[in-house]
Amino acid sequence: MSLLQIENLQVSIGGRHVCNQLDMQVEPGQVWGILGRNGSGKTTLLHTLAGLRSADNGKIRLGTHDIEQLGRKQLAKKIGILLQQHEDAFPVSVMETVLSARHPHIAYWQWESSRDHEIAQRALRTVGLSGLANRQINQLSGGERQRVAIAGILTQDPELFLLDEPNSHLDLKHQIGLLQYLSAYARDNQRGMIMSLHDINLAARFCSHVLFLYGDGHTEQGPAEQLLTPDRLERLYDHPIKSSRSDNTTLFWPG
Amino acid sequence: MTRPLTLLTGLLLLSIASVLFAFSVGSYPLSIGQLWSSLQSPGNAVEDTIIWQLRAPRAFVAFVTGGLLSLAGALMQVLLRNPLADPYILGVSGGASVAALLSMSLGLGGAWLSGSAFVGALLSILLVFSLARGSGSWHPTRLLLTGVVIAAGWGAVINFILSISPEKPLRGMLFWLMGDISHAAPAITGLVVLLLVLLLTFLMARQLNILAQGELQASALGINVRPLRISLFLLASLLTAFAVVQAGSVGFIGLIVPHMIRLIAGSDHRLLLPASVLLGGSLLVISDTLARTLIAPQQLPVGVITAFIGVPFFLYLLNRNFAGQRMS
Repeated sequence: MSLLQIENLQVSIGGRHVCNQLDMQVEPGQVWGILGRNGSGKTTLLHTLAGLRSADNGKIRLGTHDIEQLGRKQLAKKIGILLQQHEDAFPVSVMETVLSARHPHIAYWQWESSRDHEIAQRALRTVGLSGLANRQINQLSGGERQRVAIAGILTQDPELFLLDEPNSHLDLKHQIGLLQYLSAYARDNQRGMIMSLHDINLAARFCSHVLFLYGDGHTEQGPAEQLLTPDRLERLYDHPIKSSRSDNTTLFWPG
Repeated sequence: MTRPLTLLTGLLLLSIASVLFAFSVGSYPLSIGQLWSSLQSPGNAVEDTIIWQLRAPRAFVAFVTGGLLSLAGALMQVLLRNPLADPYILGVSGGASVAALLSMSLGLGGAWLSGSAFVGALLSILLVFSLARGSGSWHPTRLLLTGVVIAAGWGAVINFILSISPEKPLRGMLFWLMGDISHAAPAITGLVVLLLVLLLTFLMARQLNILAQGELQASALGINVRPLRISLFLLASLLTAFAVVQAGSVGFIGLIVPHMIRLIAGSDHRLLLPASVLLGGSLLVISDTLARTLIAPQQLPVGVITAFIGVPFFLYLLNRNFAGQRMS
């Protein structure tokens, strides 16, 4: 059974259509990339799938549950979203921030167990921030803050990972290292993953499937190697795109 | 980062010390020995009267008021996600003050005064709540702006009442506005409200930590943001209403105490909330004791003293923290 089933989904924001009648299934272990121009609705679609805003029409089912019928806390156990913006109102430590992502798994009268601490520590090691666990969050660089957020969603450990531009602010090493880790994590642990990306080459390298948002409600989807062709991408981005093959991979660059 | 238990024990000791300070200092000074023997074996009529009739009730009101204001301040700051928020920012005290001043100008006192102040506070809470609610969205910015504008409106009404009222009640009115514990009757209800709200918000504390990370992140981690915000608003306003009714608008405590705890021990609300109550209570007991003794027999409004103590202490903590950041 599919992890995520989207039926006849219609989403719009401020009068602009993100998708009309989108049907899509995400199977366990699949990694999807959402590609589209600025303002085509990548973030809006991810927020809708996370239940943070409601769709105009259609159904979003997680396993056998309609996400509208799940309580917020139940939903947070199954769906995690990496947001594009992080707002920190007060000084808290890196560890506290990551640990707070265990919230959906803990009853409200309970405190985090030693197992929760272990999970958070492991996530911090994964993103290479063990050494900064006690640092205040507002003293981090943009890329370090982004890695804290990635550690957070790993700590939350949902069935479906929604990642809104996971590579933003990250340096080369961490872009590749973390996307490699996340996509392998999804494959090996039968999780679903949907991420919005601006980099075609990252999508080609790490996504098994892609969804194109054309910005007018029209969408296209399918296996990455079928959809990622220069002529399709030119139409998607409204810009000439060239490609070449080397070392068995196709590389894309804007003309 | 200080260990939670150490901090709470330290603050508990500070609370006890502040109360002993309040018991012993005054126009009839009591040594620690006299205090001890009077607490051990009551019998000396004069000392018992001074402690239990005069100083204890006042210290009790001061402690409860300080606790109410500090807890309200901490809750308002996370509700509005704004470090500048204090218990009065949404106009609760303005509504209470207008009602209190009106009853003072009618020559009413005692229960009438506190009763009308409480009604005024409730009216202001309901007014802000219904105006900020509008259609659906309950955004902190909208709540903040509504509250600030209502508070400004109350401020104008207060000035209007002050400018047309005769000389005689004016001094009492000014003292009430600046915050004054000298006439307060010990209200056990204040303590009960403080403990109940502390317990309730302690259970929500982990949600508050996450709410500080922003509305979307809070929703994404499984929190129903709207009901949480509404209960925070109502609880913080209720605390403020009880504090204002007891002691007028004592300034500064509710703004600064939560920040002091954040600077010392971080922003985990499970520690921040109880620690703020203890520190706020102690600080107000010490301030009130100084207010009645510094230029005795004249009394100062306690709000003046809280600022005199609080401003340098806060600046010290702030500086120490930023110096530490540079070195690390």
